[in-house]
Amino acid sequence: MKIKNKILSIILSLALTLPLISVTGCSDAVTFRISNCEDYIDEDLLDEFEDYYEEKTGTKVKVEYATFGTLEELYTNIKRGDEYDVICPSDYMIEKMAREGMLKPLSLDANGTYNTNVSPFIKSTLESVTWGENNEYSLATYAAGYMWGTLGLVYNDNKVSSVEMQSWSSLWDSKYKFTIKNSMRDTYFIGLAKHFKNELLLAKQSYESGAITLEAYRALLSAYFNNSETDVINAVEAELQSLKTKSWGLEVDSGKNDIVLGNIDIYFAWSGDAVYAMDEAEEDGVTLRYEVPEEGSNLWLDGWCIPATSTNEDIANEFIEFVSGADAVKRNMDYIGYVSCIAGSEIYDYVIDNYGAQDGQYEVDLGYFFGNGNYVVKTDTLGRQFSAQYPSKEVIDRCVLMNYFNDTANEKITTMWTKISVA
Amino acid sequence: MKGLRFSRKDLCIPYGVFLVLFVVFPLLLVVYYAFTSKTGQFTLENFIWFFTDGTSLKNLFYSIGIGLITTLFCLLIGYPVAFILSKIKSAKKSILLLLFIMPMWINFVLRAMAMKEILTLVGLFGKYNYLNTIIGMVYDYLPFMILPLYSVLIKIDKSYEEAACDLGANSIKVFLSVTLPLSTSGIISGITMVFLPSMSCYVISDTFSNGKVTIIGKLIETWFGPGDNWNFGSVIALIMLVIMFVTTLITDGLSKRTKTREEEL
Repeated sequence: MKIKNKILSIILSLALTLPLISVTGCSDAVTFRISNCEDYIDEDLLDEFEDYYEEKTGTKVKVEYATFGTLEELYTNIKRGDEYDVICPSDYMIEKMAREGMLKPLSLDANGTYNTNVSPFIKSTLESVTWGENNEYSLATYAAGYMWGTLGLVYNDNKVSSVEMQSWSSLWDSKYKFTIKNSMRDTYFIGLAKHFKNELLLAKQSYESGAITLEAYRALLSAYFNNSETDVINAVEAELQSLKTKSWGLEVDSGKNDIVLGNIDIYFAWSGDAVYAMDEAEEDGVTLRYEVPEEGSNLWLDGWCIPATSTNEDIANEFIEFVSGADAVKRNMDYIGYVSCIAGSEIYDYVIDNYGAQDGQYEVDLGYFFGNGNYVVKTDTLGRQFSAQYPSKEVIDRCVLMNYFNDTANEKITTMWTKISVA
Repeated sequence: MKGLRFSRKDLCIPYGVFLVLFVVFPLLLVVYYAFTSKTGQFTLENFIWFFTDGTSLKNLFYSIGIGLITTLFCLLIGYPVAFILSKIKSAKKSILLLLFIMPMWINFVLRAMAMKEILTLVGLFGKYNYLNTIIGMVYDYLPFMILPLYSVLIKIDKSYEEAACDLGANSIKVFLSVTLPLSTSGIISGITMVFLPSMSCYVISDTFSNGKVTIIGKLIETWFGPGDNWNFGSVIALIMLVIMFVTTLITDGLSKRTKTREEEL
């Protein structure tokens, strides 16, 4: 009897863990699993997608939406067997996952919404990161661009001069309060910018004087900003050590409020957060500006990818097309504050509505982003929200992707990063 | 229905299952990762790395230091509070007790944010990172010190203290030789509840030091996250576990000694 009881109570207590296992089959709808960064989509669109898909194909889908805190979390979840149908990682993580066989090559319709409307600039950026024996794979093989931006400096116009913001290295001898990122890759990036300052500026000069082509210049930038040689890591460690001491703090999300509240004067920011901070400060009557220093900066982008384990590739393709539609794009941009990878005339009109001025004194040619045609924006102010969202061609030419580091390099950089954290 | 009668022992089974699934099994995984390389082969490399790279060991000592200082301040502030609370007889007592417990009802991230604002207001924030970290830790863990102390103090039979008074001891003497020794078990459980979490709860150190003070919990996170080396992360976690185990052993020994003293009394 006793053994029976024991068995029964073991069964009962195991039953308590049952809710942890998701139960499917309550309806005939296909479950479609999305994993995205937190706050990174207007969630009403998910319901609308269910309707849209049913209307188009007659099949019912049930969207299961999950979020992740960091890309490493997403990577681990998938590596340990979580199944999703579409995910939204960043540039370097797309490469890492694709190289490890965790993603399916995309099979989007060449005449579909995404391929017709994606910005040529985003397309060529995705195509620029290649690997494989004959470079047969690229980010474009595996990802459809979603949002993109740059890294730069937000500063209080009344206190800090814009001249000072032309160089990353001015942070090292700044008399102002500033924050840096409590994030390994971003902070390593500005460490590299300081270490290679002369080389980077020389490359820029050579390009501007016509001595080297744009491709050659960007190849140089890419090489400097992806360097992981031991000597360089050691030099960057020393640079970052002194930067940490000088800085007011290291943050990943309190900075955007600190600059608005006036706790700091310079804020090392992702462009979307920069727009948020400038908007908020404006309400308090404070003018903040955004600058991408001359040495060059980081261009990042997030894209939709289909994990190798997905069994709903068709729905995933439809979803990517759906979020690439002009209406979804505009709503997501309003909701998130970042810039979509999708171009097209409706988005151009949206930009004009937001930033255009009939007799604005500045003209910015966004042809690089929107493609052939007249995509000039006349505007009243530069160096603020508009410039953070849609940088000029001149700025974008000096921004490059930071690729993924292989295991050995990543371990070296992490070791360096922990040394800085601990000191 | 005879078959559904449970003995008292069987009531432990749900917890037993919970323990195996969520404590023992993950623990075994940590041990597995700690003793293997990235490719899954047995190795002690990770332990050697921990003790020789300088960074990790240094950080461990820092964290122990922060934990000790936090515990000390919690004890210095918490003991008098618990003592006074246990002595109050009127109806005010429950209200006062509530006041001390209430902060625990509020989400601690919120409390940390509020405290950060106060520190900014008085001008400490962003200037004294270690001090702020300690303030944050003490602020957060104080209730965990007060409660066990209070529950032990309130149970001390008043007749011991009265007897000591009758025999001519002044109030200081009564406290030092009767109340304090009798409350040792409360002190010990307070210490275990404050010391170990304060070594690893990096949300507090991150918030209060502006990301400038790193404790061992953060180091583990770095290796599990961007470092992508679960093996080394597990080594650090395992070493923390060993420290926890040793602390428990020591405190266990102490409380056994005080138990025998209580019996002697």
